[in-house]
Amino acid sequence: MTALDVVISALAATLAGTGVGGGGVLIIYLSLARGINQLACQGINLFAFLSSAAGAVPLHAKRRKMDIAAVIIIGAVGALFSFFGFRAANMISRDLLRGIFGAFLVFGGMRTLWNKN
Amino acid sequence: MLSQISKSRRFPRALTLAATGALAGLINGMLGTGGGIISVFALTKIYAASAKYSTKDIFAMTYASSAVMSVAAAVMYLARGSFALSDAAPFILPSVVGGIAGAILLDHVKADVFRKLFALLVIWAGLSMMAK
Repeated sequence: MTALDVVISALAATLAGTGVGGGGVLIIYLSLARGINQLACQGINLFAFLSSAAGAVPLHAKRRKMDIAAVIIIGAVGALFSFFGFRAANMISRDLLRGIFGAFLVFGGMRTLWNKN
Repeated sequence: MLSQISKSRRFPRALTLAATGALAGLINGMLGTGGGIISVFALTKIYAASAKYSTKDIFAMTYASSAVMSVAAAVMYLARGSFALSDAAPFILPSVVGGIAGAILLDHVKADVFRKLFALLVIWAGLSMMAK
């Protein structure tokens, strides 16, 4: 654990919390700077995201209007389909998985740049 | 809310939400992140005609639904031995603090400009990961 680990994980969680988007920051850091394999990066990122959600979701629930039924439907179906996504991640090589993740980042970034809203 | 939607529209809307969850979960499980992009996009479309929910409300809903699906994904990664709890443990406290800070800052930050700059960084990182 380095000071940079602390800074990057706090920054990623803060960015995610403000709506700027930061879900991939920790994966990028762990993969490119720390050289950790892609699947481990993704697992650690999920765990870190849950930690940030433990702090953020109660605050959001108090301060925001939420359609709880929509949250439950998306979350529950998403939990089910996470299984298929995880199976797919395990069926392909780590390098291909990193490439797909990279392509997803490029796609997401381009979409954000071109999105007028 | 769903309960306020007429019965005739409730099923298609629930189906859209389920399809959103399916795609978001698939991506989240496969890439360990990214499901939120799908949820934000879908919820923005779903509530476009309604003044009831702001962009920040939609973001909060996305955050909460992503947390639900991420529990399942994290358990799968952990059970399969993709990472050890000891590897992830050091990131817990900074992430909790960052999550709280982000939820508070959401009221004060005008994220649009910053989001565009961040998008450039993400594109660079994505290209680097593809080239590695």
